[in-house]
Amino acid sequence: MSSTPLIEVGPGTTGLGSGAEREFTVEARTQWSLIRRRFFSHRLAVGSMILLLAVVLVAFVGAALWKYEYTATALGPGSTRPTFDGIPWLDGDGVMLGEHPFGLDNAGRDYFATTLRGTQQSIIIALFAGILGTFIGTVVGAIAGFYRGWVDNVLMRIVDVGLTIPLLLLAAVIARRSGDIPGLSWFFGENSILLFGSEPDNVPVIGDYFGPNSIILLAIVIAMVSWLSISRVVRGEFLSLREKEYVEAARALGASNGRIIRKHILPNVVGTVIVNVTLLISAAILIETALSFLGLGVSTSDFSLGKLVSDNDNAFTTRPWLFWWPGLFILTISLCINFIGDGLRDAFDPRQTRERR
Amino acid sequence: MFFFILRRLLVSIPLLIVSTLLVFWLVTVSGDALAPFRNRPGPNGAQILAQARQRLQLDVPFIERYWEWLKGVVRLDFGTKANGQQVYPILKDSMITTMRLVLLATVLSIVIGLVIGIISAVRQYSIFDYGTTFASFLFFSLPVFWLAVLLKQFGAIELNNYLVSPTVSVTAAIVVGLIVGGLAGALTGGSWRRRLPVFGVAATAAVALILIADATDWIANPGISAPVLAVFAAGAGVLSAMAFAPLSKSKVLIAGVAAALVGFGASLLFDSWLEEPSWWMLLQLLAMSLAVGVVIGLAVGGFDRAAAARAGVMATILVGMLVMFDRFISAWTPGRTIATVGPQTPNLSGTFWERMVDYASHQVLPSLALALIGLATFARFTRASMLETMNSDYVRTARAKGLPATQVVLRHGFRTALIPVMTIITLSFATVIEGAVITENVFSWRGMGTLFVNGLREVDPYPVMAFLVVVSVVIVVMNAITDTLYAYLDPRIRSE
Repeated sequence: MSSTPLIEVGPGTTGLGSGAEREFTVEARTQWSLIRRRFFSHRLAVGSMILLLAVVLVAFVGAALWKYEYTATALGPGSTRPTFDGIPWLDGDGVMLGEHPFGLDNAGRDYFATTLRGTQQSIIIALFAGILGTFIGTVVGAIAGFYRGWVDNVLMRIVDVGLTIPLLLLAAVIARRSGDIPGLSWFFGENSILLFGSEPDNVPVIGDYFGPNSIILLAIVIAMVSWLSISRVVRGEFLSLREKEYVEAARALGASNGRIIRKHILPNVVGTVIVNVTLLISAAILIETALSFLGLGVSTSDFSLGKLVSDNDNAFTTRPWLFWWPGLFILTISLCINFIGDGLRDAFDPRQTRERR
Repeated sequence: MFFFILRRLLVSIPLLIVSTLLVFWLVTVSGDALAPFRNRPGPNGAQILAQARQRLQLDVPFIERYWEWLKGVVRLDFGTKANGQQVYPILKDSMITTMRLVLLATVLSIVIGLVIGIISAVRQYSIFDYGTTFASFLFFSLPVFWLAVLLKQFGAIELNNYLVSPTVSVTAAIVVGLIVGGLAGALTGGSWRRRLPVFGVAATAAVALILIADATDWIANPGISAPVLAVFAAGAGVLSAMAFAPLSKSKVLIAGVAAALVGFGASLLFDSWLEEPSWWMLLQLLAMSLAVGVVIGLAVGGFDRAAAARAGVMATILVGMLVMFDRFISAWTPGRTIATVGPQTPNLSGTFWERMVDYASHQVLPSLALALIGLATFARFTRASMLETMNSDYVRTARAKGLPATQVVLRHGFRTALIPVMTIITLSFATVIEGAVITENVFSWRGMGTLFVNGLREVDPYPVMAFLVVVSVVIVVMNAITDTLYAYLDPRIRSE
């Protein structure tokens, strides 16, 4: 097992010079530049990053420039075939987008615009959920691991209980009851009858209460379950790092607990955390699609990739493009994020680096 | 050890109580259970509403309802649904359905995932490694339901169309042959010089087999004739000997092959049992084959008794599986095809094996959808864990003292590598049950996922609670199993 030295030989030197010569010509590298270098030598990860950026660009900028709005219906006869042509050697027309690259759906919407809208929503949800979940998880894990004792006990029991609560249930509760949140009356329950709702509320979709901003609420629901596992990982790291000599040294110098956590331990956990962010984001995309599939996701009048697939899963034999395109977008985004995460793991963990051809 | 596990179980009881309490509360506040009874036309609308409220016990404070439920669960009474049905009988049926789905998926994904993980770690940076790594990433980037719909289309509808008149063109045979050869070549390590012959032999054999199968119409009427089965059995014997000792140890080899052939002979002897077996008979046969394997191993083994007995047991089990497989595919009739709806054909009758074929044809796709995703995780974890152990000092020692490669990989490397993988496997079991919610939805199974989702939809806490209790019990039991297996795999834990 090869271990990467902290000082690597720069590109200008041969690396074979005598000891003295080497000592003066090598260039010291910081931890971060090493990590950056290792990441950028992971070709698959870099390729995935470029592809992901392209998808994001198309979804946000491309959708804004595109000639059709995702809300416009009846642009032509329903279920028109796609005009996108990416395989020029089959018919010789060359690569072209055409009038409706992904065709039209049953309501005559431009499916390209719809898919891009769905991609935007899914990306926002996943990013927000991933980052929020990681933030909460890291803070809780850090506090539990650093202070140990009863704080740790209480926090970890909360995590244990949280892990048994099904996500679907949480989503359903928030979906049906979030309309009452401003008064928070449902939370405290003035009387038991109020707990069961004073008016019929059979709107099971989160989005229908909060309008366009509802995806943030959906992201919060996903974050509420996804921080749990991160907090356990971070706690484990903190438990071992807090016993290290340099932490003892910092304490001997009079550093406060907060300073030790922020300046001494957290930087050493950051690799684990960043890798977990990528895992969470890709998981969040899949969770969002699953929720939308079961009818607990974005608003009924809006789109996400999961909702597009679930709306069209019966159309597979007759109008396959309605099923394929959003699915391929989910797959591309999730796959890219996973590969980036793999590259980051290699970059942060020098023991795992390998010689790449 | 027993007290250790008991302590773990006792500690989890308060956790279970808190989490069930929380879930009970969440379900009751999640909506209006009385929605269907509101706004009833007619003069007695208010009366119906009041009746429903009383029947659903909505006039009782929530904590008292929970207490009643908790007292009931101890007596296996899971409460009644809003429409008056008892939850327990429904739970029993749906649990069997879901467990069938989940168990098969888990077993499949564990076996295939571990094998892929081991091979890709031993052949690190080979084509096989890169291929499986990419495939694993692909599988856990896939939404389950998207995969399930694809499987339904290509694994069922198109395959069924094909099975109406299954013929293989020569081109298709050659393509499949090239793939098989490529796989075999990728699995073999070393230089191109060593791989090319493997590739050639495997590819030609595959093409020849496919063409023979096509010419004899095997795909429509599959089955293995007795002589071929005997050859396969002998091969299984050699394989099991190889797994436990180098082939130069002739006594282990003899034990393996002898046990396999005795097993094959016994299958002819018990032919009438196998025509129409019951699960109990099959269990007896399994016990017998285990005993036969051990006895033959001990009798023939000499100094290598232990290895020979292991090889004997593995050989008899492999042969048993072969015989069962033969029975199974013989019961296949061309009319029966892969199904996409429900766990079995309603009002099913027929012989044991025909029923098995029916179950399998219903089960294969949903289980595959679940298994492919778990498989990717297991393969990745096994690979990482194997790489770590294979680079450790004691594995180098084992190699240095001249142990054969299979021994080093399986008994020194894999056994240690299994410890962290165990945790992932047991943890994932609960995730798979929850993933089954979606799979059941796509393939219209009425299992625990349906129970859960419908309970949620109707704001009825009892079915949801039943689901939660089952999942929690599974988690607790799985944790206990993990602890026991830890102690078996890692002797240091035992001495603690």
